[in-house]
Amino acid sequence: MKTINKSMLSIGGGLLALAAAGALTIGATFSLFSASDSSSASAFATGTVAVGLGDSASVTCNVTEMSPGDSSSGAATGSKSLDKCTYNVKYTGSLPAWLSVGVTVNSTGTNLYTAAATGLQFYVKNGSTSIIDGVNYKVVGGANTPVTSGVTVEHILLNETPVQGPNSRSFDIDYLLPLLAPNALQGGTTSIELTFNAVQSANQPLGSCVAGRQCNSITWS
Amino acid sequence: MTKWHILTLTGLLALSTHATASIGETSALFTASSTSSASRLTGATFTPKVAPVVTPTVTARSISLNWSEVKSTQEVAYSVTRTGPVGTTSQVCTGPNSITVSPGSIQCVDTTAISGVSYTYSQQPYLNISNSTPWSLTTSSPSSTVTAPRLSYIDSGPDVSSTGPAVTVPYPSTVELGDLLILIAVCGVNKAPAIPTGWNQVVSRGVSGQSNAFLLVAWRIADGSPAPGLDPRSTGSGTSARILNYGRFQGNLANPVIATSGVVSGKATASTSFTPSPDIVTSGSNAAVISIVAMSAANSPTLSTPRGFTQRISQNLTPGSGSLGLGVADTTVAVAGGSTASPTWTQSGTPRDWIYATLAFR
Repeated sequence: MKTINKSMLSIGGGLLALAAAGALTIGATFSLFSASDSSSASAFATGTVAVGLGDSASVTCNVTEMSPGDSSSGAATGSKSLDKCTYNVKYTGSLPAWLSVGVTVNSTGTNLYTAAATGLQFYVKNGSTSIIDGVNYKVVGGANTPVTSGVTVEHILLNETPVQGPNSRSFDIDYLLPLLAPNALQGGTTSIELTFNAVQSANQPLGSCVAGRQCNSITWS
Repeated sequence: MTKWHILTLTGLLALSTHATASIGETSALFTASSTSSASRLTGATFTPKVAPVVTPTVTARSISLNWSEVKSTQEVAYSVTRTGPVGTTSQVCTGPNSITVSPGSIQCVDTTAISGVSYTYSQQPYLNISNSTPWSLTTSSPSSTVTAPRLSYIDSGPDVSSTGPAVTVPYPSTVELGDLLILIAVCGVNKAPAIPTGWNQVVSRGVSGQSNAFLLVAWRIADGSPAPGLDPRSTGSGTSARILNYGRFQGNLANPVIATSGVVSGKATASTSFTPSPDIVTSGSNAAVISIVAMSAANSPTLSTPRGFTQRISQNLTPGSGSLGLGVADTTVAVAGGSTASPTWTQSGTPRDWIYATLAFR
């Protein structure tokens, strides 16, 4: 309540002043006229940065008994007879955000992936943006760099202008076991997983980052 | 289907850190992330994981190789290696359709083995994918040693019988020029049939009494002559005859000859079990040793202790009024000059006298 009632103040003030004067005269008590008021509450609400399920179901692959020459439908070469894997995800936050993806290739035991042209190849794409092409990803400067098994490739940038939710992303994971895969890879196993990241774009300039390359100049977590 | 793990970081904690960031003390931002389930890819394997050992067998004029099938998701092919003297190796069973696959079993034929040479075999299964680096199992352990013979049993012509007039004894359909042909006639009476023209008699033995019977064995080299006519000279009881073909092994151009200085033949008193004696001594390497027994009853003579012999015939015959039994077995003896242990034969039913012969050819 910000308004003060001035008429009530003037009447009451006369009576109180009189009584106070009497008291001062006899020296027994002492009090003052006072008043207070509170403002209305100010409200503060945050925006959100969040991710959720994609519009369609993802496909997690469990491909067994791969032979040299086997590949999925979107691979560069090979039989192209196997199903690709997909990862569908959605940015659902209200704040403008930068998006990135990380890739982890891993194995226990014999590894089909050797980081060489004769080992397992991956083709990871988000639309027209290539994330992994064979065994390579692009570092900040654009140079092709082999993915190392067991070491996550972090923060491949997906957008050069901030996006707001909902913003769906679909990652295709194609693969190829080359004809020249060595006999030592027989029975080998490799896994691949993607990590989708979103971070507020406010107060985070993109700098020289380019979509499809690693972007380490902004803080992702 | 996929299970996605969603991690969302928003709220008061983020708000407070954001507020402190605004005054420059820390740098924390609103973030969120989600990680996919791991897709898994696995390379092909073979079943079984150890290449099966090859079993070599002399079959007709060549060496047949057999082993168990190996499976994978792709077609499995096999590389077969022959190891000869002083470790020399060569690939066999090469070329289109050289290997036959039947459910659970693989077979091929070594068409280049040489008579008198000993070999072992091994095989290596691999994925048959064009232009690929072959995925394979480790080569199998070597097979047992097999020696390519000069002569090997191929088959027997049909049995013919007569109680009187001469009868034509047909050749086996597999006969080729130069093969060794052996005529065996068993009579229900102790009387020798007449030897056909062009045949060389090697055994003529009979027994009398309750075991009344006769065994006649003759041989010749196949030269395109017509099938022989046999005069049984045995009315009533009849005579049964057939011709066995011991073919020359692939690449063997030598004419067959007797490979012993002493053909063994004789008769022995009735017994259930019998081992011909003495053991034959071969006079040439890589000889085919043939053991023949007969008796005057349908007693199905069989090998009870083979001693390396393979039984070829165990037959009951009724050429006339009585029954007969005939058994034939053979083995290949690599080294000349030693005696070859005879197999032990057994006859069923009430035992009759044995008539027997042991021959050697090369």
